[in-house]
This record gives sequence, C-alpha cells and structure tokens, in this order.
Amino acid sequence: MKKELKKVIGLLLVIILTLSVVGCTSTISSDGDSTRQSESVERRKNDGVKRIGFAMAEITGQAVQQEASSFEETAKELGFTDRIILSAENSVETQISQIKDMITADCDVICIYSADADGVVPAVLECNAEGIPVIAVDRGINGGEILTTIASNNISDGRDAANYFGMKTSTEAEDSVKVLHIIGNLSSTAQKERAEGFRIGCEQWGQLTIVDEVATDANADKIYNAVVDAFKVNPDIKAIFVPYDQLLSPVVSALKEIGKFYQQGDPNHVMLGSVDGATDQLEWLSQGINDISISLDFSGFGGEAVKAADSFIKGENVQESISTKSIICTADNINYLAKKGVLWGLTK
Amino acid sequence: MYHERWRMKFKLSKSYVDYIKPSLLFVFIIIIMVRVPIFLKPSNIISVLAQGATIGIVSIGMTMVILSGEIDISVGAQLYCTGAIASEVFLATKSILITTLAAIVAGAIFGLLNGIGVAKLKIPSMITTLAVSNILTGLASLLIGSGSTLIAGDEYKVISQTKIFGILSSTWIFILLYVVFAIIICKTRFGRYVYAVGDNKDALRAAGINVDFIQIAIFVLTGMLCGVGGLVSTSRLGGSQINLSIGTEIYCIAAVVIGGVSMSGGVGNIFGVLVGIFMVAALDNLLRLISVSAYLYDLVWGIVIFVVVLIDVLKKKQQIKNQERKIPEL
Repeated sequence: MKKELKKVIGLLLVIILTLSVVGCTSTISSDGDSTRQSESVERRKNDGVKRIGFAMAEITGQAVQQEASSFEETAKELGFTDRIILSAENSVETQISQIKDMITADCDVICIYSADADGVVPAVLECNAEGIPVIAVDRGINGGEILTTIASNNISDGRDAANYFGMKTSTEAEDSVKVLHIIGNLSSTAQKERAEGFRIGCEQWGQLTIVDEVATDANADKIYNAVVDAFKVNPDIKAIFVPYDQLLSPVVSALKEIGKFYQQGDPNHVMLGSVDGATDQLEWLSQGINDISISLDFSGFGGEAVKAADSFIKGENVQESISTKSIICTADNINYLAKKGVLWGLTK
Repeated sequence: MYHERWRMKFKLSKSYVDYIKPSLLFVFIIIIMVRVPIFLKPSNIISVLAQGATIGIVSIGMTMVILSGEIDISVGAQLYCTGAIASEVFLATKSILITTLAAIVAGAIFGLLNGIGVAKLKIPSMITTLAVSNILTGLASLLIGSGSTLIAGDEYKVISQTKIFGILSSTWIFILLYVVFAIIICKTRFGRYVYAVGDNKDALRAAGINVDFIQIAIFVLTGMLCGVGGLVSTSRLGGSQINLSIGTEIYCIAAVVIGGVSMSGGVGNIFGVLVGIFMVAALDNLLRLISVSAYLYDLVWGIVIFVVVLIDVLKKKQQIKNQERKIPEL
C-alpha cells in the first residue's frame, strides 16, 4: 500500500513539474516582444559602453586573420570600448552559443561571419528579438533581419577562375582540357559557392571538362593523396582548382612527387587556380608556380563592418549590401598590382 | 553429417563470424579487378604503401594500446603537434638528426602525459587522450600561427621522399619500425606483458608486475611512434598546415581492428595489423580511384568501421559461448 502511494505521489509530482515547465515556455505575446526589445535597446543605450561583437566561423588562415585584425583596428579607432571576437571553428552549434553570449554581454551590434548561412538564422532571430542589429560579413545569411551584408561574390570568384582556364585553353578541342576540382570543407558556405561558381564557369567553356571532384575536408594529407590518385586515372589533367589559397601547398607537393610539376611556360605545365590572395600564392605567381589567385578584400570586410555598425549607432543610413572588390591576379599583372598596393596579401 | 565431415577434413570453422572478413576481402578484390584494374599497377601499389606509411607507423603504437585494453584518440593530434614541432626545428636548424630527435622526444612527452593520466591518475583512457588531444591541437595551431602553413622547405622532403630501390623512404621507415616492434611484441617479455595487461590487469599486479610502468611505457612508445609519423607526414608535404592529420585516429583504430585485435584487449597479433593497415590505405585509395561522391566518402568509412567493430563484438560473443560449452556441467 505504501509503495503504491509513493508511486502515485511520484507520478503527480512529475506531472506538476512538466506542466510548470510547459507553462514557463509559453509564447510571449507580440506586445511582450516589443516591450522586451525596447527595454533591451534602452539598457544598452544607457550603459555608456560602446560594444561590438564579431562571431567568426573560423580564425585560422592568413585571410581571416586579416579580417579580424582590420575589424579590431577599425573598432578601436571608432571608439568601441568592448570588442568581442570569437571563433567557432566552423561549428554552427558553437557559433550560435557564442552569438547568444554576445547578446547576454549587451553588444550594441553583432557582426557574423557565418559558419553556415542557414544554420545561424536562429541566433540572428534572437538578436532581432533583442533589437540588436546584425551585420553579415564575408558570407550572406539566409534569414532574419540583416542590417547589411558585406561580402564578395563567391560564385563569381569561382567562375572567374574557370574563365581564366577557359581563356588560356580557348583553342583546344571540345572536352579536351581535363580539370581536377578539389573541394575543401563541405560545411563551408563560401567554399561551396566557389565550387558552384567554378562548375558554372567550366560549363560555359566547351573544352573544359571536370574529370574528378574530390572532397578533402581542407585536409592537406587528403588533398595530397587526392592529387596523386587523380593523376593515376587521368594522367593528362591540365588544370586544378582549389577553393582557397592555403590548399595549393599540398597540390604543388603532390605534383612534384609524381613528376607533374612544371612551371608556367612549359608545355606540360598544369594550371593552378585558387581564391583569397594570400601572400605565398601571390608570390608564387611571379615565380610561375600557379596561374590565378582571386584576391578578396579581407581588410575591407572587417573595416566596413565596423563602419556600418558605427553609422547605425549614430542614426545614419546604412546600405543594404556592401560589395567588396575581388581582384584577379595572374602572372601578367601581379607586379603591377603589387606596386599599386591594392592587394592585402602583399601589403604590410 | 556429410557437411560435418567436409568441415573437419578442411579444418573449417563452425562459426559464421570467422567467414565474414575473408568474404569481405574477396568482394573487395573482385571490385578492384572488375572496376579499377589500375589499382593493381605496381606504381599504384607503391603509392598506396607510401600513403599508408604514416597510418602504419601510428597503428603499430595503437596495436599495443588496444592490446593492453586501452584506447588512444590523441594520435591524430600528436601527429599534428609533432609535425609542427619538427617543421619548426628543421626551419631553425636545417638538421635532419636534430629534427628527428625533437619529434621523437616531443612524442614521448605527449605519450607520457597520456600514460600518467591513465596509469597513475586512473582516468579512463578515452577521457585522458581526448583532453590531451585538445591540448595538443591548440598547441600545434599556436606554433603554426596566423600563416597557417609552416613551410620547412624542399630539403625537408628528403626524409620521406627519397627513393630506395624504387620505394619511398617513408615506406622503408614504416617497414623498419614494424619489424622492430613485431619482435618486441612477439618475442620479448615486455610484449607478453602488453597482452597480459589487456587480458587481466589485476592478476598481473597480484603477480608483482609493475602494471603502471607497462601502461606508461605503452603510451610513451606510441607517442614516440607518433613523433616519427609526424615527421614523415610533414616531410611528405614539405611542412605543416593547420589541422594536418587531425582525425587519423579513426583510420588507425580501423586498421588495428581489421587486423584482428580485439577492442577489449589481450587478443590479436601484429601480423594481422599489417593486413589491416594495407586494407585501410587501399580502401582510401580505391574510393578516390572510383571517384566516390564527396558526400558518400564519410558514409563509406562509417560503414567500414561499424562492420569491423561489429565483427569484433560477434567474435567476442562467440568466444564466450565456446568457453561456456567447454566448462563441464556439474
């Protein structure tokens, strides 16, 4: 009897607990939403601290480090006392948690270099609910209210690399120029867009044919092995594309191992294309190692994001989107561009 | 009755589990011969051996760890960190000898951390090695820095890219280490203790053997092998890169379990592991040669590892059943 009574009491307690949890998470009315939002905005206005957050998908790599440092410098110049920069190591879950932390820290503006354009939308919606403006940096975000998007066109960047290969082989026969397409991280929106752009570009040139597409998780070992094995099946590959510059190093090492590395000008030269415009790969252009590197304006990403945030806080108009320029760098124009000082990879 | 006579005549096993691996191997060979004849080309086999050298070197250490009943999931991070250290040292000294010593000593220290955590602090090996893995990943990334590519130069490639009798030096390094450790595991007292620790730690302790020392030694040796592996891996690429070799532990564990070493410890041999190493390297190579879709790559590997571990579990159950049958009824 006592055991039965204990069971009944236990069951009743569980039901009460469940109901109270459900009750606490009931949806707030829209009046409640706007009240909460305006309270949140007032609180941040009155605390006397100008605070900005930058949630980055990753912080490894020369390019994104450039983005982070220009963000930090510009934020300092424009009087942002608290600057929070966090890296999510390409994990969407981590990035969402970090953005929530920035909301808790009362950031006046949050800039997001998203790990995934769709994945971070819940975090953006939370920012919107708190009245915190969101700026998308380097990559777009597919949901929520975005104050402005500062990015280059990744699809266009990939297509430019394919166009270069196409122009250089324009006299070749249909489907005669074999291309190896190295895909980096499948979870990276930018890399996926560049891959898509590259495919679209290749389709427009009849002589270009992608003989193999290999996903490598941006891992140097896998890239190396992928290149070695791809040449076994297709020994006459004439061009290789990678989504960002850093991935070219293992490609060049692999070509050297299999005796397929020839510099520009040699009839057996394998064309190499990439995106970003990192220092090493720009220097390689003048050494005849690679053929094209699309230089993106990483300093621009970070700096423009902070300027847009500052304009918003001052009550000024902010453009819906800010495009940064991509510069096509080849062996023909690299010296000229370097002298002009327009390439972040060659500017100290 | 009739099939029983045939079974006894050809000494065939009763258990279906013993036929799974040879069957899979048979299917594997048929796929190769029909779909990818290029796989059997001598140049491709040599390439597979070179590609599998790093995994092979680390798998030797993983064999000892798993035989002793533990696990080490920090080997990928150890490869990454020792590779970064080796690249830095070579950049500074241009000496292969000093670089090799630095890599091995670094690996030994990382292995010691694991050993102390498992043997002395009694933290489960999964947790200890996971923690060490995170520490080493961060350390290596700090060493490589903002450039994210530590280039040690073409001279560095001599360590693993020199051809000796048509085979790359990385393969010869693996063969040499394999022979040495096969002798240690099979012919020395230490090797017998490795098995004994995996079989029954308490009995060994009761017999007065210093089990903690053996466990620490196993992890230190594994760390040293990771040091050599890191050196070979970065030498192949001419330097280190962010997140290089992270995730290698999965392939090493697969190689060891395919080779017949039981995850519960005490059972298996190093000779089977050689087959496992070749199978892992060959499968990796095969998936690339047949251009498996990027999205299927991880799926295929996941299935392989699942099947391999399943075979191990089924074998263990079979052994328990056989032991129960042997115990006479009272």
